[in-house]
Amino acid sequence: MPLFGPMITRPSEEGELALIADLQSGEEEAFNRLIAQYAPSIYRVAYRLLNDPADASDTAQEVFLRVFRGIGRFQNHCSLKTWIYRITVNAVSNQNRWWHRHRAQEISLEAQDNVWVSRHVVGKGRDPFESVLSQETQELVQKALLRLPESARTVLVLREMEGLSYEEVAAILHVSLGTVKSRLARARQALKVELEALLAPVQEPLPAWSPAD
Amino acid sequence: MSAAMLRCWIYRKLLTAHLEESLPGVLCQTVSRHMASCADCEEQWQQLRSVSLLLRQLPAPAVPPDLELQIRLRLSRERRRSQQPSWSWRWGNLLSPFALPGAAGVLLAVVIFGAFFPLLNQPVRADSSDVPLTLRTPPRLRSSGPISLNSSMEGLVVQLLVDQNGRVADYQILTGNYTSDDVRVLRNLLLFTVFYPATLFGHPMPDTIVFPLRDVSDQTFLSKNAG
Repeated sequence: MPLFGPMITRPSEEGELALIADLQSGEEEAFNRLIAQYAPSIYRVAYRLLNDPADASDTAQEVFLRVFRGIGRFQNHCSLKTWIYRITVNAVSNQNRWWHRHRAQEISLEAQDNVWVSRHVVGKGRDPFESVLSQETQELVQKALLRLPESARTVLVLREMEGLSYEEVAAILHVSLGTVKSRLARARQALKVELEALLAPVQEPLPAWSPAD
Repeated sequence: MSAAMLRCWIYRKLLTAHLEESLPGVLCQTVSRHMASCADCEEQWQQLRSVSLLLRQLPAPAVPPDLELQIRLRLSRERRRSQQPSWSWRWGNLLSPFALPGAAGVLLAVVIFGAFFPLLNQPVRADSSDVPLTLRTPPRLRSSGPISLNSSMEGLVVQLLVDQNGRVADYQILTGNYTSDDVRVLRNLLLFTVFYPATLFGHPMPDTIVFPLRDVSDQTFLSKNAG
């Protein structure tokens, strides 16, 4: 049994094997099917890890470019899905490194939080109070998630948000199953700590006006 | 650390697995019983479950409608780029029409160079008109008068004093049988005989030579006093 990437991540479906064969023979239709199948999830993962729609879009394009260039060397050691997610995680990691080197000092003219909240309004038909509360909660969770280290954020996104199995996460990150479990436990704990820190009451000076006035 | 705290610490290590519902049945029931009796562990578990639920309830970001189109465009550009011939192929294709004329030109140049090189590289030969640069050179016969010698005179050997102008200034018969007529003929011969004068460091100077008369006919002489 291999150390990383257990046997259950091997492609067992005939459809996937046929798709891989078509991709390796360079069929354009096969690439179109691959894009339709994986582009939304790749974009979601990149967005959740980078928190920038433009960067997420660039990363998704970069991922498929790497798939196009590397599909000839793909040898079915893992499933196509695992391989594409691994490329995505690596591309995001490279993007983060580039961001820290080049853009860390830049200040965006957009207020990211407001953009995020306005873009992801949920429950439009619900009670406005509940809607706002839900938005604020989601905003807090997203903010806490972004404050986590990259490795913790990655494992949480892959497991909790994308719903991948432990084995798939282990194969994507190229670590053992036990490492995934311990990383996930630490990441949840860290996220809880970050949320507690964000929810802690801010020590502000007393207002100048009081009801006694 | 008390026993109760130690027990809670152990159970809290199992909370993540309990959350994932990956604990064996018996252990799962044990953890549940502990949480029913321990408010702190129950709170920890609820918080972890809330964190997990909050993450799963985060709305999926809206995928740009033109994302697939952008990806397909980029792949199309990449496919077109990868199908373009390589630079080595392009250069080869560009230069192939000139290959035969070029090779022929080079071959012709080699043949011409090989044919003319020996002419260009001839060895330098000494010119007979060169002035000898040795320290001292003897007199040499330049020309003699049109006087025929009889057989008895050809056996004579004379010693000549040649001045710096190449003219015979004095003579002395060393060997051979001769008559008074032979001496007259010899004087006439020497009167019309011209030598290249002897030289010292390239400058003409008088010198003596031993001169067999039979050498006059073939314009050679032996210089026995040279050196």
